Amino acid sequence: MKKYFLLSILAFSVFTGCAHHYYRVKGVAVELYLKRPDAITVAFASSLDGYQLHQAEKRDSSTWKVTVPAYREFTYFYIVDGVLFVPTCKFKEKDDFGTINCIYIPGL
Amino acid sequence: MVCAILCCASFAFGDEVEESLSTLATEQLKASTREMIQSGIDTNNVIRMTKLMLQNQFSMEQALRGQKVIMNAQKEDLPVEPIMNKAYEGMVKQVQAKNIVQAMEQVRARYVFAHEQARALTKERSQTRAIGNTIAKTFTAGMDQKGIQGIMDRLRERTQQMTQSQTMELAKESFKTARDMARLGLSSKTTTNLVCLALQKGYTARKMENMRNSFMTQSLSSPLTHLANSYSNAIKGGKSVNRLGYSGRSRPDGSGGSGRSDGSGGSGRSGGGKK
Repeated sequence: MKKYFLLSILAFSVFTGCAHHYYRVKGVAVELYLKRPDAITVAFASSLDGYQLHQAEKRDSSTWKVTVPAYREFTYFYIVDGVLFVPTCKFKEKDDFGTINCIYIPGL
Repeated sequence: MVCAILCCASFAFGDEVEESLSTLATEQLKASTREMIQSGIDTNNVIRMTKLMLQNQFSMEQALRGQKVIMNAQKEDLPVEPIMNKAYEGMVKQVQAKNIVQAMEQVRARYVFAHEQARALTKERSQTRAIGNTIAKTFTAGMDQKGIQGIMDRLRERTQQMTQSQTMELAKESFKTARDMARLGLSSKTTTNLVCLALQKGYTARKMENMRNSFMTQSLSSPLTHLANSYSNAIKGGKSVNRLGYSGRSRPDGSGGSGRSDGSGGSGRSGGGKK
């Protein structure tokens, strides 16, 4: 168990080393991080609540964070300085408007 | 008594619609809004969507068409949430109104097709909805109609001697596998070939689920097309699902907990272009 925990931490560190977009599950919530040092405002929209815009919180000089429920899958994207921004993400789908959305899947 | 209740309900809808849309909408749009609410669609959602459409420069005709798409879906016993969400999504992305209505129609068409496929497997309403929604998500993920029909054909062959619950389990796991592989970016053709091959080789629902979990875990550390080829060869060779795949590193438990989506990202459409 302890070994798996340490391996998970190691894997996480490796995976997030130079990532521009990543997430962490904390209990019933997921924290999504986006690195955009150039951004003045970052908003997040998802299928969880009919794509209402939520302002992301600035964590440091380059990282923005939003926290949302992690209990079910959802599609999402960002609006950075008023412009649509879709980060590179593992799971994605076409959005019917000529671009894509990211998908968060619990447990993956 | 029933008439009295319906009248009261109608007045209640009327009040809410009048209150929210009085200065924005024409009488025709208000009537259509009331019709949506009376058909059983959530009042708050109906009013929110209609208000947003008008604030986002939909013409009355476009707003009516958008409402019509949703009412058609409701009449066809399809879920309305994905279509309403498409409208909200398009408005946040500042897409032109006509393209939003078109996208809403595309979502409905996907669900029509998916639920038709599901009805070929079961006549039970809740099962049709569950499997139909999974097929629709597979479609949304990037699978084409040909691929979905290919999996359906193989499922029909495989499930002839199965009970209804075994059939539904296998169909559910097969389409979830196709959905997740497509979401990873695997082509419709490759995804169809892999799932059909597994069905042809007699995979059960559990074996299909194991293959999916294994594929998802290994996709974190292996090139996707290489992994798909490796799985294809292994299934053809009759290897155990636990030994399938590319011999790269993999996550220790595959349970998630943290994830990455690396790379520089891509910007989509900019804010302009409203009608």
